[in-house]
Amino acid sequence: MNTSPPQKQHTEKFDLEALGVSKNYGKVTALSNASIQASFGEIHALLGENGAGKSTMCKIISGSVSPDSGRVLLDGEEIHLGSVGNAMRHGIGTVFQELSLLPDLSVAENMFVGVDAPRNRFGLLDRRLARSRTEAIFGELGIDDVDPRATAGSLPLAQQQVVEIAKVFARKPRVLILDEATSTLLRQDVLWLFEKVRELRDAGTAVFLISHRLHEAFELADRITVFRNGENVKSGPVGEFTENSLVEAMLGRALIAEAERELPLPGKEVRLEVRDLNVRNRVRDVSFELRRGEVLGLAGLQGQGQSALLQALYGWVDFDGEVILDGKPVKLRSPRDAERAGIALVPEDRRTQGLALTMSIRDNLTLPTLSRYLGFGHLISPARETAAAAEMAQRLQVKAASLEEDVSSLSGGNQQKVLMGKVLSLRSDLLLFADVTRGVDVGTKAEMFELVRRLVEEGTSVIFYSSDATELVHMCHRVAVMFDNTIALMLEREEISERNIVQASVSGRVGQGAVA
Amino acid sequence: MSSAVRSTESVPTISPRSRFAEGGWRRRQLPIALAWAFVILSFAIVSIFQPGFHSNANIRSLIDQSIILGLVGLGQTVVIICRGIDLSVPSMMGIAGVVLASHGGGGGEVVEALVIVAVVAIGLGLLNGITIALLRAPAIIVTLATNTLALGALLVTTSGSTSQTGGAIPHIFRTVATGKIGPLATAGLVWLAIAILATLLMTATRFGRHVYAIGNNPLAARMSGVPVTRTLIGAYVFSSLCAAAGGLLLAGYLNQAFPAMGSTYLFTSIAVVLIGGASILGGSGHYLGTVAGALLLSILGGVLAILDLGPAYLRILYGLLIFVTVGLVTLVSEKSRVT
Amino acid sequence: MRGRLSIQQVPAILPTLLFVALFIVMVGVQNEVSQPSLETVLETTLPLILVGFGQSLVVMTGGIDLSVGGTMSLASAFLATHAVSNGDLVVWLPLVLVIGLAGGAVNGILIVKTRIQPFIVTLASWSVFDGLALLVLPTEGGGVAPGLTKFVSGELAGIPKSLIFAVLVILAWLVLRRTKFGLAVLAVGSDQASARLNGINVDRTKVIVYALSGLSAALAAIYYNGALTFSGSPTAGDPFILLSVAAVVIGGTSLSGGRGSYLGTVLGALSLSFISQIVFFAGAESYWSQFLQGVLVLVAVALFSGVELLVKRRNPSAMEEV
Repeated sequence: MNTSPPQKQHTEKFDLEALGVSKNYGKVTALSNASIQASFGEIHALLGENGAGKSTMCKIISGSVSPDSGRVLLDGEEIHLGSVGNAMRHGIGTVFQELSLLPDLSVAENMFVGVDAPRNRFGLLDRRLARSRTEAIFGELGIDDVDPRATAGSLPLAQQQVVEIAKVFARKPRVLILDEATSTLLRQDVLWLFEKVRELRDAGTAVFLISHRLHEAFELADRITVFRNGENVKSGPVGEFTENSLVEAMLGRALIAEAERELPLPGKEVRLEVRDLNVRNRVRDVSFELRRGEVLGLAGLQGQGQSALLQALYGWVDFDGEVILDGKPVKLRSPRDAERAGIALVPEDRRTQGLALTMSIRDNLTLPTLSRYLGFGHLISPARETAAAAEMAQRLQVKAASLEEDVSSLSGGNQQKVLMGKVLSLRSDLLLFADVTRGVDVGTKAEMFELVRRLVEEGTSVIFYSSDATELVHMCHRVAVMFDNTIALMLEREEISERNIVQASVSGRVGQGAVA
Repeated sequence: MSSAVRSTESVPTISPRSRFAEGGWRRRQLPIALAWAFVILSFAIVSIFQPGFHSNANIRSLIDQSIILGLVGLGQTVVIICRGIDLSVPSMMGIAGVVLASHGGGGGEVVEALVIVAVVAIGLGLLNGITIALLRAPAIIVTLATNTLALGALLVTTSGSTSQTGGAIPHIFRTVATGKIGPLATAGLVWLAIAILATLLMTATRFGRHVYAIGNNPLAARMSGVPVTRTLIGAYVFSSLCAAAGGLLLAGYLNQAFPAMGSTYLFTSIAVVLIGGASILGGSGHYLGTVAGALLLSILGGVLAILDLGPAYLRILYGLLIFVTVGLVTLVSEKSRVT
Repeated sequence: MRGRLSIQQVPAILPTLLFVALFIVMVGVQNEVSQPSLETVLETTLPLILVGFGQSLVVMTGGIDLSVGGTMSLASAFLATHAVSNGDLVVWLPLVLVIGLAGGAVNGILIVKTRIQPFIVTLASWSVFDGLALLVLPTEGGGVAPGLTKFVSGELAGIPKSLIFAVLVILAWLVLRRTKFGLAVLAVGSDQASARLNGINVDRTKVIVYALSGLSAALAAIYYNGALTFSGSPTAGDPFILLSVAAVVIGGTSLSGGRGSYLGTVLGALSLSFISQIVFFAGAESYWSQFLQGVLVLVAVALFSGVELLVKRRNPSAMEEV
């Protein structure tokens, strides 16, 4: 069953090894007798779909999760992790995907929490010393826009991630794990991070890099290991891989090249007109039009206002400006206003924003549309409700034992489908997608694209915010690139390309060409 | 990333069977079943050792004692399910009882008393609900403060009298609280009706669904169009009204009223909801579980009376009971929750 | 940036303003500042100040301790029945402290091991401790060792003992805040998962704060018996449960944890006492103070929550509950 290449264990010595590691979460197997080898002074990318095991493997090496079986060897000697503190003592540092900052503490306090903080002569924490040490560390790393006295939770996400990275780098780890460390970084910060990681590598650190962005692996890594179904299926120097071979290894089957289907042309009728929309501190003077059956992409670096724009159109945040729907101005002061106007939003984070995890699939699916299933005496009719839920689940091909199962027991992709089903049940003809494919595996992504295509064919208008430029190229009629909290550039069909999107995202314009 | 990939796995059809046949639904009812198992078990055991325990008269007495807690617990159940808590219950009960006692003279006065009580209950519920829902203030502190405030206000109106105030309690409340129809307790029939209505409220109305959704994941609820603020305020108003009803009935049961009459219900109203299987984190629970909890507490009270053990043992027992039942519920449902 | 900072400082400024305002009113109502009356205020507030220490720590970790009332009652009961002579006192004083510490530790261990919410565990243990207290001392009464009274009441070198004790507890907090443990307490309350990822032993931190809470409740009982009532009561601690939480909240510590200071709790405790004093000297009935205390807590919590909401609205991060 194990198709890993012949191990060179006996001829080549590795500095860090995890051997025969298994981990189960209840009935779900995260890792199955998996192994991985790494060397000091090497950047090692771990790739694979959601649930393939790469994240679990890193969590085990980082000490935050204990394996059910298996050994971890450092410098040839077996070490027992089991807590992050222990791992830290062995020189293993981790930049966690979910950020490990304490939001109520200051940046300086965050830098030293858990390790030995600077003390004064009474043995008590010296805040001033902590602050100056932090400033020194930031200086060394080239960070100049973060105030050590600021409360960590008040910083924008990108800066929080920078602090998280600085915290780990400052301890000069021998083994560095980067778990989706670039997910909220701005492009210039990503380049900065790459530079620092290369410096660490040159100084002898072993680096593990997990990222969904395959191009980061090609840009940075010396070695790639692919995980699938809890096993290490392919490992080798980066030069041995191509994007195609990588995806094949991740999926376990050849890519079925889909006939490049043209998106149906949008209608002439203008459905949505937005004029001078402003969200305090986040969106500035945004105006655009959206036609029936059109997919408008929203691109740009993280934090340029894309989320806030969608939130405003959904009535979630206060905004100034005009929104005209089908020729009539509408007031969008709450999600209920938006839904009554036929606007629906599929949110970014399905677990915290979209679904009630311990409620059943049925409850989740029918929650927004309960008024449709009323029967005798304004009470909800169980028969009508269950029938509607079953139909929705069937249409989206949700894989579950029954409608009464808790949503929390479903896989990530299926949870996303339940979320989509819930939103689609509103039968809105204007859909807002907020970066919904971030962190979603390739298979589910494809299914979602299909769904959007079908909706568009039926005349739904879509605003599609995505942090993946390639997706935007495939999905959109036009792409609005946001830069500096406003729409810097509107790319028309022929102008849409990954290169243009990326360039516009970092500079606000394309080539020597026009600015919107 | 290159071209899209099509999944070739087939998907089983999810058939719309009756929900009561599904494993997921059944699993969720486990805590309630557990609570009732406790009730039946303890009742049976005590009946073996104490023959008079399962006499009609004794059962009526148990029900009479429990219904008050069951009423107050109804409001508390709703509030706890939507992640709140109502510590203003004792003051509301005291107010209801005292107002009733001071209007003991015949039909018109009773109606006047009921109107006053209803208005105060709605007002208190609104105060709680608005502060908690609009300002996002923590329910523990808000309802604690309003309890202190309301009790103080009550004492001001009774000029500090802490003993029985007012006159007699209107006949109808005494009848419902302690009377019987044939072999059955009047209270029991009333309670049955209440339980049915409560179950319908929580499972078959939009309000009920909204309460569960908010308790499960307030953010997702809001995003799904649930009117969160309105629902929360409604929950606290409902709780105050239930506490008021409980206070009226308590006055009928005791045949007197005094400002502090509701003080023991602070602890017990929360206890019965927890024993009934609801999670303090919200999102789960059922009134039928609370009913079981109320009955269980009365049975235990009866047991201790038989064994001639004082209130100290009751306190200890209550504490252990809460711990054991919640522990069991936690064990049975080890699921993660979204905070 | 400036504007945002000053709004976030409201939780720190408000308790101070409240304290000063109420102090002024209290003095005004009495028409004089008499040292004995100020001393009395401090003495009657000291148990709350002591219980508030442990409660503050617990709340900072994001928990709550409802059992402090029971622990205090139990300690009071034991002292009044077993520590009536000086000889017994020598044995029972440390024993009572150990009981408080152990009771709190049991809470902490249960919370950590069973993952049951602190609200429930401490609600249950409060009931158990309360019942035990009634068994030890069925009604108010019992005695107090003369040595204890001598130790906790009166003055030392001209300074009221109550003031010395208060200062000691405050100092304890100031030191604690600057230790690794103090930082861990706030970290756990701020984000438990992240605290763990930073190598903090979350479980141990929690057990310690609950143990400290039990200890401070026992200390409160010692002072209560020795300096205020000269006897014991099986319900000594009951009012302190909600009062301690009220003092913590008025003092600006957030119930969700991670933020706050014990100094605020002290100010909150005193503010609550000032109200009683004001009502008394104004010649009004005592139930007015209950009413006004309720109003104070409600207004304070409404203000803090409102401010927090404003801050979030002005500075929206990811899609939160705004």
